[in-house]
Amino acid sequence: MIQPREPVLIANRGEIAIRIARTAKLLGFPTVAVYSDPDRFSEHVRACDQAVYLGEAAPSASYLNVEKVIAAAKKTGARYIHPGYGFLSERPHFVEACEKAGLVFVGPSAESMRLMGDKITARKTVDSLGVPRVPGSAGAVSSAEEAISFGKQVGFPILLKATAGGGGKGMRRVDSEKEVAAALEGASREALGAFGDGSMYVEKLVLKPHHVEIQVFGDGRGGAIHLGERECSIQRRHQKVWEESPSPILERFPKTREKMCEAAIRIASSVKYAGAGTFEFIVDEEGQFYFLEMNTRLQVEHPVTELVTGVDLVAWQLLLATGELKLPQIPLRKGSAIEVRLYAEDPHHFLPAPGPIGAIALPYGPFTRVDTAFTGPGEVSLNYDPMIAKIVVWAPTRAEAIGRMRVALDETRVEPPKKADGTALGSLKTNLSFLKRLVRLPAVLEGDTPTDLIGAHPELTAEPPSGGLSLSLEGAVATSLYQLIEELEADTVGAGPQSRGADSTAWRQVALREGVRS
Amino acid sequence: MSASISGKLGSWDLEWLSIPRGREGSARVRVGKQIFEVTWRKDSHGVWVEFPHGTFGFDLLAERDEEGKTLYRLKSRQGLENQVGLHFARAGEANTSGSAEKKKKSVRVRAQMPGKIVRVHVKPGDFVEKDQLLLVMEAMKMENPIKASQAGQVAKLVVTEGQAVETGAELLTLGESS
Repeated sequence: MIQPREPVLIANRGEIAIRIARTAKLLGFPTVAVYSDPDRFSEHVRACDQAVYLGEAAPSASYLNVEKVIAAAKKTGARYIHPGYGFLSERPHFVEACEKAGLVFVGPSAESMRLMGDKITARKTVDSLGVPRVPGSAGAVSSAEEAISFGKQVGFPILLKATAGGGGKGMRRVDSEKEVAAALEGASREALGAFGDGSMYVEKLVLKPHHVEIQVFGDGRGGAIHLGERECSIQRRHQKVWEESPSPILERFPKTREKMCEAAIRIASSVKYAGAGTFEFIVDEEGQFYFLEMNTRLQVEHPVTELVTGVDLVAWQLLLATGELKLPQIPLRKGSAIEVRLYAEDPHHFLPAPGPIGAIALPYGPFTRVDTAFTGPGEVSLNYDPMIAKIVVWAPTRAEAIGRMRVALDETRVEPPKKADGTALGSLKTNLSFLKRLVRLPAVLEGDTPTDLIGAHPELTAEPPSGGLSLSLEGAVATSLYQLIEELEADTVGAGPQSRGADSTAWRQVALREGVRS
Repeated sequence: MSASISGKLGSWDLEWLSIPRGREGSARVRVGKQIFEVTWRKDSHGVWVEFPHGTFGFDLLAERDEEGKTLYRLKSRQGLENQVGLHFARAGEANTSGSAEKKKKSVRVRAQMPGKIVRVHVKPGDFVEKDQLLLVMEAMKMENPIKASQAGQVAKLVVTEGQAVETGAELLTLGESS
């Protein structure tokens, strides 16, 4: 029997809202979606039992609007609010507003969010617990001179980072003294635009770093467990595209893994962390690790952990919020899981390229999970994150998981709609061709994946060959065939639907034979 | 009917011994010295082509170049093959792709997405190198550097700092380098 429960409002959109709704329904929570103007007919609205309109496309008028989200919860009788990731998930003032309104925020307390979410206070916390971190400025830097003197002290290259930042926004690598001023200005401006806070701090840049994070789960009373690691070293524009567990670098340094998991539990316990959280670390090629930051929310890449542990993290979050969950045991981890992020972006320069989708085919198959909000023709909105889907696979070993991912990606197709003449309608591009190359890259197969992997392998982002000199025989036949069919079809369009695709006129055949028309 | 169409596609010498048409069908094609009987099914993305040695699927997307000529982008459904700028040039049809390469034209730099111009690094009349930074545009909350696709002279500058632009808006024109 399904236990009757009070509703949960999902203050998010897209694939993560759908993913949360699935578990909420499983546990018997009625679900409430919220949406903005462009999301009126989105899949996440259909995934929930009820939906409330918030406002215009701009996040400040909809998904980031505290008053509107709380009003929606009140109106629908929701008791719980799950924030997903992004938007309101890491805003302590939202947590307080929920409490004030008598709602339960599914996540950590405002206090532990403040302690760990702000990078500068987080660093003080981890220092006091003796967890190593990359040498960095004591606080926000107020001038280029300050950043330069720090750089001279620890040695260039250094990294400028936004205090309030994340996802690579407001982040710059600086290789020499003379680049500092311009980089600081640009990064600060970007941070101000993205986070409403332009303050910046400085860190020493670790060369050949691996990005490894530890998933934790706390009970809010000082108890915490870990669920192993995820390696997310393969990034473009400082944003992850490939995440996996176990981490290839930690497979080489199992002692480092032990220490990192222990450190993560120590920090989570000391801040009485509640729910799912992630500690991000840098691991260098010698197995040294440094604390980077904590994400006080469910991560985009949480399915990787779910596949190796068998744990439904959202179920744990919701049951902790209702008070039903006691601190679980550390789950066993089995096999290897890999996630890639399919984005609407240019596969050569990684610039966002959202637009309408004409057709989409996502992979099925054994041990393959796809989290997406796109199941047919639709549109990747330019107002929000341009992620189309997360494709996640599991296999007993990493090599098999990579093979499974290769097959899954070869099954995947995302195409823009086409005009009558066969040309693309709209601006959609995807990183699928890049991902297909990535999954075949020898360095990836070997697990040799420092964060600069993409930059170090220009063949991943090279433009496809032009003009057909290296074209396969089958490709040449297919292209010429397609071109001839299209031309004949175009020629008969307008002569009525009956004649479309039917016999071409005699003069056309003659003309083709003579080669006078193109 | 003995109509046939011959021509070149990349380095391949092709001759369609019967003219292919329609969404499904079969035809004979000569590639170099070999002759194949092929059967195809066209769908909204491209074609499946059955050869005696196997069946191959390709997604094809038409693109128009500056002269209005149709070029195709091809992606294999089963593997990695990915090619752009394909065109089956019939015998007698001028193959202009070579000469188009040599002739450097002025290019209009357009906005790829809606955003805001945050910095303008050049002024009209400036000579720029290939890959030189022209503008910084903020879009999707990221600052995106816009670099010169070719060397040349800034002929026209349309935008100013702080200006919001829509997709496709002209930002500046790079004149041909002399």
